[in-house]
Amino acid sequence: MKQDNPSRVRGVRDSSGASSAGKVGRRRFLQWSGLGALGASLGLTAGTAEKGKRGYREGTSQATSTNADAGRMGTIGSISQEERSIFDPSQFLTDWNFSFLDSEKRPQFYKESRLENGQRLREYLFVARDREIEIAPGLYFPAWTYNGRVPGPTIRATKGDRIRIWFINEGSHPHTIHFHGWHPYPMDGALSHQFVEPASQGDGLEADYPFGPGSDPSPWREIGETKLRQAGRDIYEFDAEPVGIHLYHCHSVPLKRHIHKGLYGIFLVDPEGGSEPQDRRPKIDPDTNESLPADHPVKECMMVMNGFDTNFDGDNEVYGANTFAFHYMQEPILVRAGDLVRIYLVNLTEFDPINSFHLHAGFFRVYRTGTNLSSDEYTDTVMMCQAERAILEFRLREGWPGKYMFHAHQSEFAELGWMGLFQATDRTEQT
Amino acid sequence: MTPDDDQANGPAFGSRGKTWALGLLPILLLGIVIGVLWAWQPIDRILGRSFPPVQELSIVRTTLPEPGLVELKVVNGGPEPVTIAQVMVDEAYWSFDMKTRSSARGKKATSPRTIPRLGTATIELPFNWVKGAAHEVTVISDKGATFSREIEVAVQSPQVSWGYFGLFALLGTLVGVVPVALGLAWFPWLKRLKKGTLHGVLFFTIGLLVFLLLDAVVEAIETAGDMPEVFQGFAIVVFGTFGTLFLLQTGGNWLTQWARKRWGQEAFALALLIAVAIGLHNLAEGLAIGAAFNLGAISLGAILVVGFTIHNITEGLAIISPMAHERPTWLLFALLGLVAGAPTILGGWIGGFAYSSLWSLLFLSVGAGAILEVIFKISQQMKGNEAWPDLLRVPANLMGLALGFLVMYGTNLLVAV
Repeated sequence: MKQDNPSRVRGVRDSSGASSAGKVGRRRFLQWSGLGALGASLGLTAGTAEKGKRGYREGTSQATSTNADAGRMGTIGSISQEERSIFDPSQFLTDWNFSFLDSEKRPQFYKESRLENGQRLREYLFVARDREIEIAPGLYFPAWTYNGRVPGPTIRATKGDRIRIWFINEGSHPHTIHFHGWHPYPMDGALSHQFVEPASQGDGLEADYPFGPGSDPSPWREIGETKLRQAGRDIYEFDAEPVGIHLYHCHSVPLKRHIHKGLYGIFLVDPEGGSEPQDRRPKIDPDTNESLPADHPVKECMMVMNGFDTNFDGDNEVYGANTFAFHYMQEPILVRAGDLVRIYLVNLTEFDPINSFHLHAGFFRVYRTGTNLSSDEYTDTVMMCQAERAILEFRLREGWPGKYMFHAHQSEFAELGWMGLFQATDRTEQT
Repeated sequence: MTPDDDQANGPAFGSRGKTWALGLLPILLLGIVIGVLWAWQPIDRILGRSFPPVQELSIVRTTLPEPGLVELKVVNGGPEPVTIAQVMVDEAYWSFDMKTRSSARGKKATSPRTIPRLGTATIELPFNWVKGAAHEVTVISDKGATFSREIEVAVQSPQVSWGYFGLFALLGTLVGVVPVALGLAWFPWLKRLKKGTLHGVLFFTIGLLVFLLLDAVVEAIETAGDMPEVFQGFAIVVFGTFGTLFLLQTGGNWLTQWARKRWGQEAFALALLIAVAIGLHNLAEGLAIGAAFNLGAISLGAILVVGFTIHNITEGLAIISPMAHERPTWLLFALLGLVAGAPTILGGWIGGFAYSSLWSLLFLSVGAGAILEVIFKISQQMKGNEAWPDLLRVPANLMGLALGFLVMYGTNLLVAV
């Protein structure tokens, strides 16, 4: 069955035709405009005269509406708890390798072990699924997801780790996972014979061998790639390289649709060394370019700039960082002033060639693609092409607590949802 | 009661009861079919409940009642309820307040922002619109469908006030009452015309009316296209036009009979009928004037008012043309002038304070039907003892017809510039 909703297309058509609506089209209007002028010359039209007296109203204070929300730019209401329980942008900032799951469930989707040669093996179970996701309060988008989430679960590894992705396609279209990074040709997931068919037709392969993290992949390999993919499965395996902030996404065609429907996520490769992931990159004061102590606190934020074309007219109706429009306006990201804030920023906006990130009242260091450990730029605005990414590092000034905005500097994107706040608290306060 | 019961009891009612029962039988059967469809939901059973939703919202009116406030009226013309998730102005989400008016009683709304089928809602957007600029408002449904409407030129909408009341009255007088009255002043000239020339003048009038008829029908059909599809605007146009035609045929016959009894001739009745038709037409024009204020009234162009007066002066001529051989009183002239011209004022009030495309559509099509009836009536009166083909063979008549059409076309150019 056709996935996309004809009514939406219809809605769009209506909208384009609506400019002439309301009778008295342009022609009529011009016919009559002289009469209005006559009225004005007689001093009867209230328009100009009254406006001078009253002036424009500002903000909510003078609004006649009883709605407390009224008179401001932005969405109204809040995203449902049901949606928040499946995907929470505030949590997404700091969750990776399925850490959003509880300890019982997590091993089904993520497992760490050692190969015989001592290499660390990180195994993941990715399931492509269709799901209606809420992207703004009350606004639902029929998404194609990895594990029910848009963006998909963040994969975070250290350089040289072995990555093994067990992939099942339970969606309604052929999908793949295509990683940015080094991998051999069979793992590329980009050519038509590498597309994984929907598993719904399943031929019972899973009954024979266990599928997922911790299982032995060799029987699946023996079955052969073609048969495996026809049965809705695939296994991607490669070493995590090079160091940097990367991404993964579906590479089925049509590409535009498969990507903007939500099949994408962050693939982060940390450098070696350091005990905690956030300590593996050098800590440099963004403003002085001098080293910070090794134990200097770091606040990490995973951020995917994305957009949603809800009426399928090839233009996004909603933009955001991590999917929900205006999420971080309503729930600011708490940051202690002076901490090193590190943003892993990936642009997965479809349709618009570029997106951008702008920080208020502060400057950040840009590490483009995160492949280099020394910064490329010191700025407050960075522009990114589709699939371009960067690591941004900054510190909010101590003694200046408050709310600092960040947003796309394409004002349109900002006002359609891609806007948020960092809330700086003094170091002594708890965050 | 089953159909069998009805039939069994039929004879008891006599043949009349049986006729009723037989007439109701298909309706009863229809009820059963609907009941089965309702209870069994065969289409859902076959296809599952996986239909893509069909959503059809129309923003039928935008008003700017005061600086910093935009009001939208939204109609759900689709087959199922639609929930409005968010509202955008010029590609920016904006907070809003919404009131739903529902015709579906007793139905529990799933959300306060759900508009039932055929329901309407009013959305208030505290938004600092920019005078003279264009704005686009868009509502986005829970399913992500968008429905937009452009505010072509943002100016404050007319409020019900003495100022606007007087303004519309003045405009209505200038473009409706005055030209019609001036046109009536052709009467003494008309009386001096020979029969042949008079026929030419009557054909001229028909030419004018044909133009007005086409203009009204085209406008009405355009308006129908702007309405939510569910209201089947085109059907309203057809019904309005022909309904008015038939009503005036009946009413006109009654009127002519009464006129013959009262005055011993029909000409006054015909003139009154033409005045009524032109009055209905002018009501639609007045509506458009008022509505233009909702879209914004800007540049100074007194020449356009002059253009309108020229355009409408011929309407007066059309009214008196059947009375060339009679001696109407001043009172009758005043009555004819008021009936034909004053509705422009009324139309202005309606259009300015409570415009809706439905009103516009109704008035336009009723006006069209009235004009059609007048064309019939004038033709009949002219025909007299002569056959139509003979009348049409007279060059002066054909010239009159063409000239009438061209004059309307030409004066319309004046106001369309």
